Amino acid sequence: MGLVELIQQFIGLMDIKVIIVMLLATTLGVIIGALPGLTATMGIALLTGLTYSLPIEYTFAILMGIYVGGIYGGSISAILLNIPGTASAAATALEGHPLALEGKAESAIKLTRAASIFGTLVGVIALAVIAPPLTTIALKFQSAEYFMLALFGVLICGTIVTSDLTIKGWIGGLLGLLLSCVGMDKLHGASRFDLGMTPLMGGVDMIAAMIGFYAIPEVIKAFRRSQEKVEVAKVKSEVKTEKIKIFRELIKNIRVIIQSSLIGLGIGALPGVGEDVAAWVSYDAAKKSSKHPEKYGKGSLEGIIAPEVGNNAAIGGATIPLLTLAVPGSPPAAVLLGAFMIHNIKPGPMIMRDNPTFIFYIAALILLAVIALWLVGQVIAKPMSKILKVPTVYLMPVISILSVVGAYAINMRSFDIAIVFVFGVLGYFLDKMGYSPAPIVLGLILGKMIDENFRRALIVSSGDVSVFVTRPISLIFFVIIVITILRSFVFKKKKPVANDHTPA
Amino acid sequence: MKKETLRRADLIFSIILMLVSIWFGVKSILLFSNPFSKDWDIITQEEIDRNLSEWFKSPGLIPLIFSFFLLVCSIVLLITAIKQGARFDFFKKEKILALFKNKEFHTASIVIGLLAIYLFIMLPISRKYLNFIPRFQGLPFLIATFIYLSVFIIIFNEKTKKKIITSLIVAACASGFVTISFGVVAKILLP
Repeated sequence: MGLVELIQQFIGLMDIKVIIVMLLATTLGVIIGALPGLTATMGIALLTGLTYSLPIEYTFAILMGIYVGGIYGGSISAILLNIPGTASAAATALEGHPLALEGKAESAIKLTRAASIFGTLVGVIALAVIAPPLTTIALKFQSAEYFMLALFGVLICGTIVTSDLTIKGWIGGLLGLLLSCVGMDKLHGASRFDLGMTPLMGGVDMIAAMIGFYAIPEVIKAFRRSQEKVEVAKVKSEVKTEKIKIFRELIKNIRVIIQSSLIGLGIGALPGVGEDVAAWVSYDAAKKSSKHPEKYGKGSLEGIIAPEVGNNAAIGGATIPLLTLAVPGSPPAAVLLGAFMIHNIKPGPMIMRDNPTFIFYIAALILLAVIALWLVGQVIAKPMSKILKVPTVYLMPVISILSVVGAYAINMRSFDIAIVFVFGVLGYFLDKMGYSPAPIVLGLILGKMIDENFRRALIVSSGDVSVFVTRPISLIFFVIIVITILRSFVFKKKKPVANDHTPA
Repeated sequence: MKKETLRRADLIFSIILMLVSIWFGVKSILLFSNPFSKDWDIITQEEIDRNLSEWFKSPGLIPLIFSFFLLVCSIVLLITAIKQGARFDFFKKEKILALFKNKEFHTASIVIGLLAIYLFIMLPISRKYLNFIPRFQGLPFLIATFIYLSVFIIIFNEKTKKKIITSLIVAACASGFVTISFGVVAKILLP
């Protein structure tokens, strides 16, 4: 049923203008993903504002093209430069660059493209098949369940994505949640924490804040890195006897592909966690289950397939809770949620009632993006080595301009430009101190859902807090939350201090 | 960032977080009794009692809970930072001088400063005084952006004649492209 709807929606996309827009958007997405310092999340955030006035079918095609292209694109610079363009390609660099140094860059790029396509396809099928019945389960959710789900989302995101102390992930989430309380409360119309400023009565604009958090810190960080001249490994033709047979390698590694797809789907579905964690977990699982783990780190083809399948399967995985529960599964999905909302699409369990074909429409767009990726990938691999040489000093100031234009374009308020600046500077300092932007952004997005549903549940139960532990689904989430918190204190992990917290 | 510096930053930040959480907490408590921020003179005791009895409806409830947990997390962060060696020794003259001499600090300050000047001075002034071609609304944005990009790129680029000219050409092309493609073609209102 889901697949039939998917095919119907896909046929509906066969409009030459939509196809051209998708091809261009996917190309742009691959370039954004490949250029270090730019990410799929940033690309989606910028384009959300910049495409606001376009017809909706082009807007969503552009955003999905950027998403799919961006997640794949990081692997190109990972292979050619040993610098992952996105965090989700960090594992790919470990195996891809040694392959490039052996003269197999072109084959490595083709293999990652094939792996990405496969992973995305698995995600699309899962989205079309799993999401609609999930909305039926989600209809059983009432306020208590939504509150627990959203709280769990922020907590798990903060627990997993932080690279330093776990408490920093929680602090980030709490900061985002408090920021979401700024402005008028929806249940009573009371204005909170607005500092007497009229623009703040509408709250902190989500898209402007996200552009600030994801784009501006990268602009600042780009100039603090030393100006190294990076060696771009040439995508040269290989000696025929050493050429990798792509299809044969995929068949040979089918176990890794299936394993990584499932990991990617599962991790993608976890709120706010995203493609980079999916890539690493897939890589790690492939290494642990490999018959030849000694080959990892030296150009293992298994090692290059696993993270690319995982991170692209996470696209579909992240879109499932995004559309069915309005809880984004990854940072790019979080920005997409903002994009849907500003175009008056309300994801959640009612989506099958209000907009019954929307889930399949998005799945069809991702499918079209996969095909576009296959076409674009044939052409773009060789010119990428030139594109990657664009100096940061020219590129990043332009990104700052696009951030400003993108934020202003949505509401046409100068105040949103101030939001971009303030959150950009704040995001930079938080990043320096080891705070990931993901839980902050997720807190900002889910904060209103948590607030409204918590109070609504209490209003219905006349102030009886046991409503959160007497309803079965709510109790399950409550137990998981308690276990997650206790685990973080009991099993304290020493995490390495990382300077770069760039999401996919 | 080195771990030692990171923990020192955590120490300062934990105190800032405590202050932020206390501010949110106090404002949230006031929302319990006066949710619509009316003048305290006109609020009756009856109204306050009614608001407090319906505490679960209060718009201050969730922010109070969040600010409480933020306070707890900040205290944990403070204790962790102190346990891992951070001390309140950063107000020493040599440490402050070292900060100001740090290259990264210079770079970040320049980038943030340029961006602030562009957003809060150049754009408003150019919109106010350079809007002399009403048909071409993007002109003030174009001029301000060209100046910003030129200065930005030249500061961080090599200071040879060739590079300066390249910087100006790139700034002109980029600002022109953004103005035309977004302002004219896509008809997006530019700041």
